[in-house]
Amino acid sequence: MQSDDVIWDTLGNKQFCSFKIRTKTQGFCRNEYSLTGLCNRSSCPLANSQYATIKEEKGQCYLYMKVIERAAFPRRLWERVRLHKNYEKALEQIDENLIYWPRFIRHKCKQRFTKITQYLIRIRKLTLKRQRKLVPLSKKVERREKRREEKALIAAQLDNAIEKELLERLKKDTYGDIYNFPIHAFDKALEQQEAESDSSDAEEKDEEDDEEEVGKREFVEDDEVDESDISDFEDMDKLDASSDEDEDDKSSSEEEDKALDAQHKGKTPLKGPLRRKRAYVEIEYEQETEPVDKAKTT
Amino acid sequence: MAKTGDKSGGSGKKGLKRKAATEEPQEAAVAEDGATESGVQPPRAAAFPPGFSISEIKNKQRRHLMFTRWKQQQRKEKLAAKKKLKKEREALGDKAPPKPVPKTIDNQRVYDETTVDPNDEEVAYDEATDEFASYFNRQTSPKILITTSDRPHGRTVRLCEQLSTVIPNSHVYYRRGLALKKIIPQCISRDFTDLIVINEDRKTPNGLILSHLPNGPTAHFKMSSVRLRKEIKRRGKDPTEHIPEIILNNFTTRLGHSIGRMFASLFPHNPQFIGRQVATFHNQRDYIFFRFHRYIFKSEKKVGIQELGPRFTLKLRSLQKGTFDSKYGEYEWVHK
Repeated sequence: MQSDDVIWDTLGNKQFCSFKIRTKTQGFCRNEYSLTGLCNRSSCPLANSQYATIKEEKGQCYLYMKVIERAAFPRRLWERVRLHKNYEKALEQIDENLIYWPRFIRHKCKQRFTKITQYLIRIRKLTLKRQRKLVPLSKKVERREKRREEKALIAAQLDNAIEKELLERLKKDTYGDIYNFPIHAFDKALEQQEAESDSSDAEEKDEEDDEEEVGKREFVEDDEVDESDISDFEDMDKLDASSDEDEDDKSSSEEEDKALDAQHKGKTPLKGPLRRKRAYVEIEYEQETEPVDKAKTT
Repeated sequence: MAKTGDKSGGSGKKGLKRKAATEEPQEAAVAEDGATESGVQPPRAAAFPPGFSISEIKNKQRRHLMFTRWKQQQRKEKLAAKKKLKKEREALGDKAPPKPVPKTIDNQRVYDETTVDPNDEEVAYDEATDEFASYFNRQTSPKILITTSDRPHGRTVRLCEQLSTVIPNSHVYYRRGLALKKIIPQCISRDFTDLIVINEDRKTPNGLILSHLPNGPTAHFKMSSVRLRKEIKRRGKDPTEHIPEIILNNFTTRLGHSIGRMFASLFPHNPQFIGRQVATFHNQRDYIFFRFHRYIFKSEKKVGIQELGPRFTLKLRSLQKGTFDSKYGEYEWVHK
């Protein structure tokens, strides 16, 4: 014989119930047919022979009912009614099925059904939005990649690579006129001088031919002595070497450099041709670097 | 039995030596016993039979001892060989053979057939007709949109801000739950050329999606070792508004070439050399290191660089033909 009070006295209140979970303030019922989730006299599915619940399976809501007449047949204990998809019609269905049932159970069923429909709507809305896909990381792979990255960083020698690339770009003249280093000026000047000497030789030859045809006598200077050329170039090399050392060692002074540059850019690119035409004295010049953009660094 | 008596009599190390000696065949053991009894510990002239290896000794302590002794011997031999070699080099002076180049992964690598030859006609034709052609022809100038995944945390937000100072003409917008597929048409209508999405996981940025906008390729990278500006030691002051130069290193293969062009198209084509800022993408063993520096030429053979902005490393995970579409996209390359 089924006596609810006895069941409740044993399970609910005092002794062990396997569905009960106690916390400091509350007791919860883990039974799948529980209407509310709490462990109460009125909401314990074991201690009430007339009981009803709403359960949801794969998006469908069902009303489960249990009456005392079927208490002897566990297989047929729970009666299941599928509820309508429409919220209002489902509520009417609940009312219809649970007519004459205690108020508490009816009310709680409707509350539970409302909550379930709300969360089903939320699920459907969320699946339409973007879903975050969790990709599992293999620890072994991660460790391996991290180690390889460290080794690649060491092998890359980034600072050296960047510096090399920048210096190459400077050599290739991608920066144009912004940086003005003396060696560059000398190289340019050398090229210019060679070009000039070629063109000037051609011109002088033409002039001499014309004059000789006319028959005039003229004392012409000897420009094209090889020895002076060689000595000039030797001096050029010495100057280059000394300028290197000076640049490395000494600090810069803008004025001198600008003056030198002006000399270079101005009339004659080199002292070479100058020296050739006049008697000259060997003078050592100090080449000092221009402080590139020192004022501009902030 | 006599042997055990000997062992008990000897001191610790000597006893061990005798114990080790017993492992070997009897004749050698007898000889060495005689040697140790004389009181001197001679250097181990190994008279081991062939086929004997230290790893066959069952006792761990003895095995360890033999191994350490062997190791010391090896080290001595190696040092002696080095010294000899050095002496020979010095003796030869100028005529010494050049030093052998050490083998590294990079110079032992199998030659990749997909390496791009800069003078190749096909490559030139491809470049003229691919999605970046309009950028390289100066028809379009880049306009970048930087965004993150949902609900970014502090690090990611700061990284986005710093990236936007590094890349000129870029804007940061926060994603408030919008789908990328919906953002992209809006971006296109507002004339953006590139979209960068920084993906975040557990409060750190760990992924980067770079999408070239009109209908360009989308590259998905794994981002690691992110250092924000304040975490960089010995850094310079904040970058200015000048357009930086770009350095792309080691993008040699076909895939690397297309990725390199993608990076290049992020920056405007007219770098302002006055600003002296350079952004570097250096590819080493499939890891792309990004750095942002300010440089200064101290002389024509020396340049000083100072790191400014954020730094991170990228590893390509997939390259997709069209814009971002994870389900139906056509993948050009996927990291297996």
